Amino acid sequence: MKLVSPAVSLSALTLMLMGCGASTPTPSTTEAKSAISAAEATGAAGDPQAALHLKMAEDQVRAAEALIGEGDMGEAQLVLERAKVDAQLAQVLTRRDQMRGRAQQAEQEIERLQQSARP
Amino acid sequence: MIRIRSGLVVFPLLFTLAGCASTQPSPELVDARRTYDQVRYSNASQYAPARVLAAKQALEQAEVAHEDDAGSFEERSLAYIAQRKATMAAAYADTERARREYVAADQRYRQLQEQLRIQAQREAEASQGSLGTARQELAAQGRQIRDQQQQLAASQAELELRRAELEKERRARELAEKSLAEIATIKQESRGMTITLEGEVLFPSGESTLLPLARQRLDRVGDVLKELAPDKTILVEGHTDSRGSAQLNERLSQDRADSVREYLIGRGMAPERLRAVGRGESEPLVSNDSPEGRANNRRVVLVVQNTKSGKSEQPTRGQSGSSSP
Repeated sequence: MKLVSPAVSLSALTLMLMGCGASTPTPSTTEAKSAISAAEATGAAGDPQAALHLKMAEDQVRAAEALIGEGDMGEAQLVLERAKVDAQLAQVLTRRDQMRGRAQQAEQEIERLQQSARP
Repeated sequence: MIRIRSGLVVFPLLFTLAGCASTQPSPELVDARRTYDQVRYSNASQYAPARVLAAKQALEQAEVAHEDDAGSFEERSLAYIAQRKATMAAAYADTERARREYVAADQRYRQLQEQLRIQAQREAEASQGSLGTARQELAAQGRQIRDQQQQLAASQAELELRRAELEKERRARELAEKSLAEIATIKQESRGMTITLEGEVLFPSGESTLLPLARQRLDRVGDVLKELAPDKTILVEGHTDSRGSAQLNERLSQDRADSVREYLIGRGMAPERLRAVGRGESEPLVSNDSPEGRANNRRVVLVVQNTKSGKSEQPTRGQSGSSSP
């Protein structure tokens, strides 16, 4: 067969897309956005490594919104999940650095107390 | 700590299509496997086992997607998510470790605080204790000083009293000396003030009757005694020289002492204040070898005794009451 009719090739492409991305309803950006808000509330913007992931999350939410606008719901859903996990990671990294800071501070306070106790 | 590599954000459809045909793992899956391995071989499961498990499950999903449709956007996305979850597990573990460090440090801080508080309290108590001891010592010293001061005051008072007595005695003697200077010799002896009258001016030789001039002299002596020693016992001693027998001399001296005593009683002195004694020749003042010496030895001595008049008088040799024996 030399020629494939455009109709056949279009339907094949559609099937492939459906097989790869699956046909899903319009995904919600709510979860990803609330994860971003939570990370921001924790202070992720002030933590360099966390800020990087926060930015990735924000970029991907925008990309997902664009995909939704284009009707690419499956890919949008995946991109939103990536956005959500980046936002979550941003929050966890922020918390980690905060906890490390507190532990360090406590050690310093102990040292100060010990020094103040010496004559 | 596990470093995170950012993945690509834009995934063109063409890549997805090409990926579907490939069996090679996507860069995202390679990254996820590597990150998960790092987490698995760290001590993260000790601190965040649930998170490590979640990372494992996410990687398994990515592997399934890889097997189903290698290179697909789903595979890459699930791998991306798995890589993030592995990183998160490591971060959680680090957080938990830091949290435990913080809790331990906080506890140490409190223990140290408590320890220092107790130490400070002990020191305060110790200094309080030594303060108390010092205070007690001070109080004891204060009492001692007070006692010493009282003793000092008492002995000062005693001294003052003694000084006053001595002063009184001195003044009495001065007065007596002044008023009796021409007729008698005044001396201060340990037994008391003595007023010595020469025998010649009191009695004719060998007799015990007072001469008229002697009465005048004895009047002045009596006045002085009344004034200066109104409460003291007066001992009247008669003395002779060594001529004649001792027995006779003793008798004569006693008679003469009695005469003086009686005269003074007659002048108004209380009899119980006066005692008369004859010493004879037993207590010469000087040698009896010369007439001058003998004249000195013939005498009547009035002793103003230090003991006050009363019943506690020692018996004296040759003593007589109102008259001779």
